[in-house]
Amino acid sequence: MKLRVEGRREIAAGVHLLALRRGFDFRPGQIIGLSLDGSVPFRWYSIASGTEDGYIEVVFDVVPDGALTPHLARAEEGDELLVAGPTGEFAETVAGAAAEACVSAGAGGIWIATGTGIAPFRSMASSGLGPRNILVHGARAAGGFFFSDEFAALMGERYVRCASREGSPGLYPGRISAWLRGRDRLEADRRYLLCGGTDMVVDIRDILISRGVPWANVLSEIYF
Amino acid sequence: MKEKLYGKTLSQLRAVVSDRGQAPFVASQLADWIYKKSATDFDSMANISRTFRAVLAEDFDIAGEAPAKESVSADGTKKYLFPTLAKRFVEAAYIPEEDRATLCLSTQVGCRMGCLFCMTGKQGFQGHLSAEEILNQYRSLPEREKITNIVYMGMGEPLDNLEAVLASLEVLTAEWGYGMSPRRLTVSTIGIVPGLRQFLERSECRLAVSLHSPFDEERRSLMPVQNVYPISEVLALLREADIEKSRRVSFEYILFGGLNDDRRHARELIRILSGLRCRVNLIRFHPIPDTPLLSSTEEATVEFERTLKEAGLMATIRKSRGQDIQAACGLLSTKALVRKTDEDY
Repeated sequence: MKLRVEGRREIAAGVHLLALRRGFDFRPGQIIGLSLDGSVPFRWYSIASGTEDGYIEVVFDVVPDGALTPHLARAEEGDELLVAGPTGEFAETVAGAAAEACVSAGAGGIWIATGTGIAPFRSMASSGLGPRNILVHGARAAGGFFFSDEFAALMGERYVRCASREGSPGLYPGRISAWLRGRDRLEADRRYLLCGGTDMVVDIRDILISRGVPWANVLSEIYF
Repeated sequence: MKEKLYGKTLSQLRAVVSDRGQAPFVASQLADWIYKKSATDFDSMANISRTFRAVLAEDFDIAGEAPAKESVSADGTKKYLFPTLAKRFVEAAYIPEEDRATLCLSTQVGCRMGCLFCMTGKQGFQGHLSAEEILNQYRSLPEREKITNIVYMGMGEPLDNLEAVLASLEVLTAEWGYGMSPRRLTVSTIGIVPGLRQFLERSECRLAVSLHSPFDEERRSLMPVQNVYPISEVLALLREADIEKSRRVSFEYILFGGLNDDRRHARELIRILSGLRCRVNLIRFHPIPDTPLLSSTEEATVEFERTLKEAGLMATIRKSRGQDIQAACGLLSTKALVRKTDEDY
């Protein structure tokens, strides 16, 4: 289907938030495909907005020689994009039976993201799934923590920012891996949701499993 | 660095010669020299004018890249380490059997699919291979003349590097190329649906789909791709494409002890594959470092196979080859040669 672009803004250098007219319902954590005209295959992006928002948002990095993102970065209100989906089951990991079991046992989930991997968690938090969950976001410096004001308001102290390069007040000085290793124990009955690049997902998953988290409690969404 | 001429399809070669003012038939001559006569320099191309050979030599290189290292298993399997243009490395496995010799080749340096059980996945993703780099694993294989089958089951997810993979398949199967039967070539995928759709439309080669669990929730933990392209969508596409009429499709199923090797899984596997004429390859899990997963026992493996067969599914237990040199299924990796770059985590 074609959806109208409602707005676009650059939220950090080369990182854009694109708002589309809402054309369907979705579950937090789902993805949509975007294409200019169908001549190039759809590229898939996590929905970054809440289920009750009046529009659908995605976050994307501009890939300089990419077939789509340089065009998306020039999109203006009133333009139309071809949209596929929504699809994907990352949402089920929040609402599925195993997750409910975790919640009923008193344990929320731990959401871990790097870069634009924060998108599905913004959708989840904006959809009211924030309580009892902890969000750990990794970036190099303060400017990489997209939507930090929103997360701070929605999640308070359960929002952790790990800055791997440049520390600032309020940021954990180090990588997500260091933050995880620094915890006395990692609760095995929590659901760990990871979203980001392969290297992060694979390394963090290994750390979690080595610290006693059952592998079945680690769910990942990988960008490719 | 000069551009590689090897690995180009006939249409790409036509563009090369046309851009340089030559007639289209020269492209066919070039393909003949490169793929049929295995030329490694332009001087030997006697039916191409000396002047044009000099032009080509100015712009292009056709030399192959020999393997940098060879490991030999007690069972005769060999593992080769091939350098890539970006100074990275991939592995390929040569697997001789009584009646055939198979080359298992790589399509990416590392892999970005992040499957829990795979050694390649543990090294992350360092880059795509070009068609030339994919084909070089065949061309520069010392045992190349013995190869009867090629499987795209080495490092990387082939359908995540679709255009290079399709170009390499075209070179391998075309009359102007190596002229191999598509039935001798198998592409293995975890099920990237858009890529799979393209593959089915543009190639006649055989297909293997990594399934590993018939249950969504479990498969999600083993294979993150399930979040994006559930196996149900993959199966629906195969049914829609009426795939069994055009080629053989097989499903790869790694048996993990105490996880997916019981009757409940077998019955669900039978259910989701019902109506698809296919083969199920049962694979013993080869443990990788720090894995929480276990290998299935011999008894459970045989019992699982029996259950599938009793339901009319064609099932086989794949022989494990090259495990002592880390060449067996799921063990290929060049992680030790990867230089870590900046990380945000």
